[in-house]
Amino acid sequence: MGKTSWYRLALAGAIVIVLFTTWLTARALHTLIDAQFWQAHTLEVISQTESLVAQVHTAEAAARGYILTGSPIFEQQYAAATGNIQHTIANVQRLTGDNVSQQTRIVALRTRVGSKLAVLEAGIVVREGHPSGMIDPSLLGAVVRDTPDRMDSVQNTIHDIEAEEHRLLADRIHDTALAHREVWSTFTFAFALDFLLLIAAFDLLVRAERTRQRIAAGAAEISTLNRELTTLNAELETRVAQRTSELAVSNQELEAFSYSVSHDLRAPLRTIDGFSLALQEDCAANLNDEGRDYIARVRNGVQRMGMLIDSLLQLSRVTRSEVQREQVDLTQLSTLVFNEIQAADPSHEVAWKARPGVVAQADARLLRIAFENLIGNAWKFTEHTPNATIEFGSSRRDGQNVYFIRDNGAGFDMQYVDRLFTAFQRLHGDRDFKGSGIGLATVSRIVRRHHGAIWAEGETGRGATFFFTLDTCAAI
Amino acid sequence: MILLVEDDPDHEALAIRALRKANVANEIRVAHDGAEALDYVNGIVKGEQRMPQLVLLDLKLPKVEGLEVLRAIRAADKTSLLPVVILTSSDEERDIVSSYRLGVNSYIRKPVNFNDFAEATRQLGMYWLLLNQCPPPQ
Repeated sequence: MGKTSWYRLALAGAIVIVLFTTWLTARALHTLIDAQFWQAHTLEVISQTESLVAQVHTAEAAARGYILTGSPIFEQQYAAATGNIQHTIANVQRLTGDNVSQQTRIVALRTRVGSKLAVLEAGIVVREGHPSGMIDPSLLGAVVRDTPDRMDSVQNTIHDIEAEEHRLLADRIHDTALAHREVWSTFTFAFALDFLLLIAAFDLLVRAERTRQRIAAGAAEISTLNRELTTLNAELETRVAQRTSELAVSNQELEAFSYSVSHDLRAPLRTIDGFSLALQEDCAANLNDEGRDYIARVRNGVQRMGMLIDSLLQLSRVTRSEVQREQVDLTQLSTLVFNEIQAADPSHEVAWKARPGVVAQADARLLRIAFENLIGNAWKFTEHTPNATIEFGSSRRDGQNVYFIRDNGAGFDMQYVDRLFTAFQRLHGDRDFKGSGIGLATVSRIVRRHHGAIWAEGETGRGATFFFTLDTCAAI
Repeated sequence: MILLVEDDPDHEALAIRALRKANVANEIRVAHDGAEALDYVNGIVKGEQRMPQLVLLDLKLPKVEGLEVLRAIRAADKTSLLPVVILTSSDEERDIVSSYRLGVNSYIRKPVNFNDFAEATRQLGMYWLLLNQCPPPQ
């Protein structure tokens, strides 16, 4: 579920809860108001009923006063009281319109009040017949006799009505109290719920604000980092451009130097060798054996110097030239190199073994130089070995192709293995094996330029194996 | 006649000795720098100098580079088909490529070992002066 739709659902839930609690509170309030209304209503009925008792007493007192004195004041009082009585009864009847038992009682009351008033009326009529003086008590017999009974029955009826209303009042007070408590509890409940909602909303707001701040801080940090990165990049590019141009200059110098070495250093050597030979050939008659030996040694020195210069040039060329990878048949290339070496020195017999079909992505020119040096070395160090064998092979080690050149020649002591690949380090004296001490350094550099590794295993008198890898993956 | 362009007098002497040893009997004219070689080529064009059968040209020369001399030889109609062999100490790839681009007939690196050089010279003389059929003079 997406974040937005979750928020919408939460908002809808909150609205429903608020509406529900509002409705609950309104309902409780309504019940309370209703209960209070009925309580007041009952009190009104009671008050009206009570005033009725007083009015009946007033009517009786006025009637008696009139009968006794014949004063028109009492007659007027009586008329007003009866009017009030009728009015009050009508009121009570109207007010208790919903209560059948009260209505029955009121009908009875009306009859009893009527009969009471009828007795009083009879007395009043007697008085009207005798405008002044005492009245014969016998004439008033009905009034005198009747009075207490009828009054009691009226009072009893009113009392019944009142009792009923008091019972109702008690009920209604109880109802009101209940409604009151319900209002409070509902209000508390609604308030608590709304309060919780408010807290939840506030919490969400705080969290959203914190997230916003964190995002803003993150964005600021990212933009700062970006700026730094851009600056660093620009610096780096400048530096790379600078280094590249420096490197180009130094490469150019190196090239000029190599060219000069290749040309100028060899020229005097050729002169020395040429004239030594001329001396040997043209002035042979003037030279004894010693002289001829010296000349041979001079020429030998010149050859070695020439070889050194060539090896150095090769080493520098290997460093300078760019590695151009292509599919190279290593079996074919190593065999070709072996055949060339053999053709140049047919007196030395060596068996050649090459694993067929070994192919790699590499610089063919550089690999040819590597093979020339490795097979050349193997050739050199098997010179005094009977049944000499040189082998080219490959194997897989740690998911990488490992190639090797193996011979069964002079070998070397493993304790000097570290010095093998350093320029001008030689493990064999010139007396045994001639060499420049640069060949393996050149091979090592070629392998390194292919992002590969080179190492050797050997044993004195039992031969040597040179392993190397060519990181073919990096090239593609 | 062979035109040898060589600035080093020692090498000049050794080259002439090697040619003689190889039984090359032809006359050998020597130009000691690039300018002298260019003069000679101009002389051929003007008809003042004889056309050589072969030019042996060193690359590293004072005043004018050997490659410039080669360019001049190939540029002139009269000498454009003249056999030119570069004889030099350099085995730099760019020199070899430039020489062949400019139409050299052969590129030989002078070995330090003079025996090898003598053998190369012998074969050179045999090939260019005896076996090879030169283009007709223009």
